[in-house]
Amino acid sequence: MISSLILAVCIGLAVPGGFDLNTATLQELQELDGLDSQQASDLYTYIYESGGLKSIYEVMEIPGFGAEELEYLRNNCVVVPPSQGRISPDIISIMERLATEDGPGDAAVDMWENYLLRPIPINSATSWQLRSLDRVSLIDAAAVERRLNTLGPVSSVYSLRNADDLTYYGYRNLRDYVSVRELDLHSMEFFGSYRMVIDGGDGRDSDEDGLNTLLSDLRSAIMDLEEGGRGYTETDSIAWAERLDSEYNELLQAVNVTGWEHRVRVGLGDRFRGGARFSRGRNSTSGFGLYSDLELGDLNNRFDVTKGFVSMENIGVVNQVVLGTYNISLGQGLMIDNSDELMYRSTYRTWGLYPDLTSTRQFALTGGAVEMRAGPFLGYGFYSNSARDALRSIDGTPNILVMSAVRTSPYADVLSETTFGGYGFYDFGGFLPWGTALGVGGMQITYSDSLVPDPDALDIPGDAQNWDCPEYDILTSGETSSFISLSAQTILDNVSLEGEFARQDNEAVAMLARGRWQNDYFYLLGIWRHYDLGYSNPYNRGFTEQLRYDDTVFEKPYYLSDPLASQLAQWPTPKPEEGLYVESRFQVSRSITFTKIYLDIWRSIPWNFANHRFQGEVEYRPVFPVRFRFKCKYQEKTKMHDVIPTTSRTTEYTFRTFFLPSNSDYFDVQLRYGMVELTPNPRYGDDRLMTGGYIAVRWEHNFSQNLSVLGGTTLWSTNGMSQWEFEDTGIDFLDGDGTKFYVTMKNNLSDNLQFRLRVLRKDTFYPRTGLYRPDPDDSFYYEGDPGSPVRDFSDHVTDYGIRCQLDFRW
Amino acid sequence: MSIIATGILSLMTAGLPEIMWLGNPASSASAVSYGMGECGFMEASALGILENPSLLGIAGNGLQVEFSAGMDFFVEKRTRLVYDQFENSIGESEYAFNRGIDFLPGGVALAVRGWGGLPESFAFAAGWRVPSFFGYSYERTVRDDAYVITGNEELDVTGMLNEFVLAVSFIPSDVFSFGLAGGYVTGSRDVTWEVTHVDPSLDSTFSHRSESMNGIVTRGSILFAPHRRVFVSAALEYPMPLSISPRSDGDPVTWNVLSETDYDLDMPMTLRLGSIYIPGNSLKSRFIGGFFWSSDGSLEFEGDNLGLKNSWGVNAGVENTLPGGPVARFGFGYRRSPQASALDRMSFTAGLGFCVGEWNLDVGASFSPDRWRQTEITGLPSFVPGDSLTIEETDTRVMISISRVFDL
Repeated sequence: MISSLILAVCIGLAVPGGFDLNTATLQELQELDGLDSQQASDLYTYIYESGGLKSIYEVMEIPGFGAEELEYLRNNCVVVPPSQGRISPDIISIMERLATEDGPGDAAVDMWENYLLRPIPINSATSWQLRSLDRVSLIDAAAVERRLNTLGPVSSVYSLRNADDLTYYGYRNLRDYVSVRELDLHSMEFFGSYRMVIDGGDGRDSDEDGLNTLLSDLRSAIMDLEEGGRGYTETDSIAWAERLDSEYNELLQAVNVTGWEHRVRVGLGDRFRGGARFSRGRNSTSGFGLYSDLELGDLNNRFDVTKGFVSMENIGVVNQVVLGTYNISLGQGLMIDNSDELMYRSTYRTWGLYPDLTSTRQFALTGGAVEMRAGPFLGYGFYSNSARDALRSIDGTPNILVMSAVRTSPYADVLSETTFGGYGFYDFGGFLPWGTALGVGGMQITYSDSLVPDPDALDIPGDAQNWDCPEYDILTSGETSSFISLSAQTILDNVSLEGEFARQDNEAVAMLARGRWQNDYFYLLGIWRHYDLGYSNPYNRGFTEQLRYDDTVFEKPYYLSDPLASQLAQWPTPKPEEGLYVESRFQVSRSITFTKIYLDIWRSIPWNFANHRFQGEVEYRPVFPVRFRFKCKYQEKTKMHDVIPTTSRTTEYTFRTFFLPSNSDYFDVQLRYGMVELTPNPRYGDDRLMTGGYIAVRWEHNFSQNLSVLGGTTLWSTNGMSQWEFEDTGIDFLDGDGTKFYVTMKNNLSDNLQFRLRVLRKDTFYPRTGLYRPDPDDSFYYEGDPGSPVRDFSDHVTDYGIRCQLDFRW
Repeated sequence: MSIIATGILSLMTAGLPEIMWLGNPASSASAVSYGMGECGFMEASALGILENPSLLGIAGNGLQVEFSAGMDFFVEKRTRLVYDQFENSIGESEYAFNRGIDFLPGGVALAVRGWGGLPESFAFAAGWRVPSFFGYSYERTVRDDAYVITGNEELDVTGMLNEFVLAVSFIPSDVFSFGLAGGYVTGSRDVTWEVTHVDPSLDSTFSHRSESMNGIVTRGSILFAPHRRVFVSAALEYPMPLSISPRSDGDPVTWNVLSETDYDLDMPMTLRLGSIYIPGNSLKSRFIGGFFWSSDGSLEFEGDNLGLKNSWGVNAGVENTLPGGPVARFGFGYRRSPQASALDRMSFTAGLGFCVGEWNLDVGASFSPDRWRQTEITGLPSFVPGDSLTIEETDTRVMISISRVFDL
């Protein structure tokens, strides 16, 4: 059928000089004396379908071709092999890093993908650009800048290999994102990409903060209200009941909703860029598009994130100007970094100004931003006006900003935020060591309505729990806050030193200093940070161990008037803390490497509790195809709890084997066991030793560079200590006891089209025993059938996930 | 309140919404397209051509013959939420578990192009296909509060729609082709409902309803090749009203249906778009994608809107020739239900193809999970007390096709 399909559309192609089989027409092949008509047709079909012969000997794979035909073609024709696509595998590779432990965020991957499509002209690159690349340190970036400024431009990226102080690791990670092309400001080459993601499947999607949990919490709160057990005034009681009921009904609409993402980016030469994104998360509510003030018809109802931008680059001293949504991350992220991906202990950060099409909503900056460079000066200015979500008190007063996984009408787009600011850097490179700079910045945030933090509006008045949350209580009312920041960085051979100091107008400060010493076999990274309790900048993304509202009352929805307020626990700014983090990697020999060792010692500022966390991982590689890794974590952390502080001691061991049985196969087995020991709470007097573990097996087979299939299975058992597992495309929460398996197919059809499909089944079992209770007021019951007695049962949760991603580039 | 007590089965929105409406759509007929996201609309095989006659423009010369058949495995779990005294849900307790296996005939078709007696620019195809089928069985053991068995309740639905199609295509150039097809649709659905009691003093209930259905469907399509590696196609499907003749026997129950006498039911018009992309790589890959939109929202019965929504769906699939010869396929499909968003479905598909001499043997399978609450479907009667039931279901289909091209 395919052969006839080809025949039906055979379009003549010119054969420049010689007789290249790969570009010959069917008619030209049929005119060859050494082939009959059927052989010519088969050869044409083979070339069409396979993209071209790699060598003349490949004709032997076509049925009906033998030594005679090979000899004839070898004497009369030539084969110019087709060029191999490179971009697709690279892009797939960096996207997969999103799911790795300590991996980068969405914004970083988005930026790297841009550079793969349109590499940075290396001869005009600065360390400011290069430092943002995947696994390229500031020392590596400055080494390249120094090499280019002292020895002149390079004619090949490979020439950078021997640059002083550029590690091989840094060079290897840099080379895919740069090229020796020159900026062509007159080019009007049109390029772009379109991505569609469908994230579907069905199930309860149970995780600790999932939609199912929120629905259950809301229902419980509504019943509690109806029974009048919360101690509100009658007016407040009615108002809360109405609010919770409407939220419950809205969230029901989100159950089993399929996630969609459409993202398109276009560019014209080295000057113009544009893009748009329309998306809705899986199991999310919709109807609150980013541009909710604009009449976008059904778009606002269909999606929950809509973004767009246009930008111009390389206009005199203006490096870049962006109108629309943008990401900006400067210094150490203490003053401004508007990604929503504050990951614990993450040492990655994008740096600079970039158009934003990520899934960030609550922190999206919408307006205009500019990056300018004049000699040693590098300056940024930004302005944004965007809607923001906030928790409201029962009288409607905005209480505190919130980032919700599932949004509801009472808290969506409560107020608008106007943010503007600037950051300027003076680059001392050349006069002082390359990479040396000083910076100063300022920013002001103004809200359309005053935020009035009021614990009485969040706390249930009639419960036995005292409100106790210094991170929240320190917040003050107001519409405006402003920040100033100072930053500095320098490179001394293979040592980098960086730091930022930021101060809020309430006199609270945040400070971070970072030093790194590196060579080809070793690095040592040290980060010291201090965040005052009162430093409440929503754009602070400094290095941290914990999110601001971790281990607070916001983790307990049953202590809150509205269980949805518990989503504040995900607010991505650092916890008020002070600490020192030291991390190292050391390759002892070809077979033994300490892949990552770190120790973090920090102090909780509100409670003055000392905490520490250690992780060490060693890899033994006796032969190239086999690797063993052993990882050990130990953490001791104290938090304020009912009655007395509670100290938790977490120990976790992971043993992992990587095996390459052939050039096309990759095999990975992982064993994990962990335990948490808590100070027994005298109020409950229960056993506070929790354990959990899993075994995971993964196998990937590459049929070719264009197609690979990955399959994985995990078996887990927990006794109070849930587990997190890093899969191929994300992190999965494992609770109860269970099994799961998944299959992922990655098909790089060409550099223009990639198709990726994933299917998952996850079975979790929760035995429910001892349910019979004689007291009817204390008994369990079936929804809709309260008269039937409930017997023991095993709750078997089956979740399915089907995810499809289509990337088209041109 | 059990289903027996209510004595109502809704044709529009019964507990098995699709089965009781127009049936489970078969989406595609050939195993090749089953493996590629059930995108039968862009499958240039004899069975695919019945759905999109313009694909004859890229069919090879000769007589193409294809036969397809398979099985449908349906698994359904019904659960109830269990709450504690604080109104917190502690889990879901299984209430009923149903499994069913149905034979799924795909169809048989032949396509002719380049036959001596025909003009070069003309080709035709003919065949039989099954656009949708009805297959469901429910069984529940009835117990009292002390968990003593008191009876049994069963519901069975069977039947299918058949379509006999004749398609012609005009192929003026390598870049364009046009196709027209007409089909006669006929089929039936049988529903039996039975309840028995352990207590001999209670009467058993048995009721049966049969509906025969007949109609005509027409299709027009166009195929365009804007690039030597890209083909795009658009089609419009316009069905005539479906004539339905119901007949009931057994114990009298009140069937909640549109009419107890013969009636005509308007059918939705469907617009389809699709493309084929052959990138040219070492795996000889082929990508197909499709989209459809259906005007269910405009359907009326005796002047009243039926309350459905316009539906749409997308499909995509890839085929790769693996080292050693076999062809591997995978894909996905997404379909918005005209009845309720809770019934929107996503499916994962995979398949393999082999050459056995002159014959092609293809195997394709699709897997589709769904989870919905009865409260999400308006007017839904319940099998058990209350209406809190949650239904977790999976639908797995396996198809086998055999095809061959004969020289003419």
